[in-house]
Amino acid sequence: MVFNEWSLVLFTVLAQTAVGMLLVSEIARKTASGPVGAVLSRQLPAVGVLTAAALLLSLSHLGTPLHSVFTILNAGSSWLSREILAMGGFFAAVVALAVVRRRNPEAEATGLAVLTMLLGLVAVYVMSRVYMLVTVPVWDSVSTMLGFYGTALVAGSIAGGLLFGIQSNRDASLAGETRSRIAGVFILAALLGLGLKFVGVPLEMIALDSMNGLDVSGLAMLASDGTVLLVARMVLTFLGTAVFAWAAFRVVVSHENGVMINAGLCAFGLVLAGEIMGRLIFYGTYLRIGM
Amino acid sequence: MLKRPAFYIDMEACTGCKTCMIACIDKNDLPDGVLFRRVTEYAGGNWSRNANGSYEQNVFAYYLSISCNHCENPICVRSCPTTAMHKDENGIVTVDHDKCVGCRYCEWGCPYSAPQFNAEKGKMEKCDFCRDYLEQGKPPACVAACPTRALKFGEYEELAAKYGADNVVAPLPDPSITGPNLIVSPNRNARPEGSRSGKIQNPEEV
Ligand code: SF4
Ligand code: SF4
Repeated sequence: MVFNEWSLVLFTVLAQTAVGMLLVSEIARKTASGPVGAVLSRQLPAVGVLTAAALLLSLSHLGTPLHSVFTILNAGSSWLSREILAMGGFFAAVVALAVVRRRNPEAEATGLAVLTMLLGLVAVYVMSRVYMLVTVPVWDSVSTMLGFYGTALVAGSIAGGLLFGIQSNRDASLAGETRSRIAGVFILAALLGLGLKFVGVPLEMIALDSMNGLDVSGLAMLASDGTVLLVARMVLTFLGTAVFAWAAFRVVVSHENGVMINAGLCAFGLVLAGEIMGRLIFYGTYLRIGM
Repeated sequence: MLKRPAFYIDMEACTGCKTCMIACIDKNDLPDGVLFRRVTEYAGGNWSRNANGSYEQNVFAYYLSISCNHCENPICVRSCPTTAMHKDENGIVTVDHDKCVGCRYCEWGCPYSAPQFNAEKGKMEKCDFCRDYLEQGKPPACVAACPTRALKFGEYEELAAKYGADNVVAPLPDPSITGPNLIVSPNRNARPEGSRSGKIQNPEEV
């Protein structure tokens, strides 16, 4: 198996984490009863930093990065052009929303927030389509899309939940009820993401079963380097989500914050490892029809 | 110049000698590991039991010399984000190096392994149908070099009329994906497209 796509692995995982974090934190903000104060104030800047880092990392994949301005020229037919436009649009919207909220922390900016969320959803959709190439049957499956949205929700809510844990720990004024509701949103989103990932597994197996002209299937490529990786990757993501859900549930029932930071860090580490491993497997099992 | 340039392979005549491949490397001064044309060997076969208990084999092998097919609906062109990959006014699919960003997306998609990454230049390169030779009225280097005259080139319609257009053999991909300008006269052993009776052999040679 060739693990030579590190820049794309990190780009896709980070970009999806950023989108998920934005989606979940905005929903949490709307769901919270009463004022959230400053407890979610760091979410948007973090989303911006993650997106910028992801975009910069993607440049290192290019043979001639200086020509990257040309990459939006073929939006009419290239999913890759559309991906760059969608991610760029998402980043711009995040920056705009962050600026508005910084000027006036009370501002809801609902219109802009909804637009940013939509752009995020579109960006993940387009990102999946980039890989759903008719000549690459291992990727040309709904499981690619389920996997990408799953990563967004799982990694995004855990990253957001961890940040929320840190900030709310410092903010004793936050009402217990509000605290519970926000934590609840983070849990539900993480579980939904995990669900998407597991629904995708059987479809992924079917896609991996396709063969190339050498009579090698994606499954065979994995088998030769250890199915262990495939299983380990799922166990890590599952464990991470479970640890996170447990910690956040403590916040919901007893408004107890302390555990959120340590357990959140641990959960984020597990999930990040799982997702990166999963993405390495994804690129490593690239297989194309023809010759 | 041709309007719709196409390659023709007579599989019955091709011996798999790879002279076309070498002529192409020479003409384009290609570095190690970069091939604009490749001669793929496809082989298979099994033992089968006769009624009297004896065994018989049906081993087969054949070759396909494939470069870029300058397709009518090229997946490389439709997925290239920069429009660097384009079909020019002569029907030749070429990379504009002033635009190519070296993302290698064309390489992911093309089912003929035609786009080749030049790591030194950080850009994609590929068969340009020896455009310069065509302009001088000469045949492409690969066609000129073939010792058995198995490889020909010409106007797609003319070749199709002469040899028939819809012969697709394994391991060529479904032609409806890209609409390749490629005409094939099948070898007597040729297996149909999508067949699993053989596989590509010695992949390290191509
Ligand atoms: S053979 Fe491949 S590179 Fe050549 S035109 Fe067709 S799709 Fe493009
Ligand atoms: S490597 Fe160059 S020619 Fe190929 S898709 Fe990318 S920009 Fe287009």
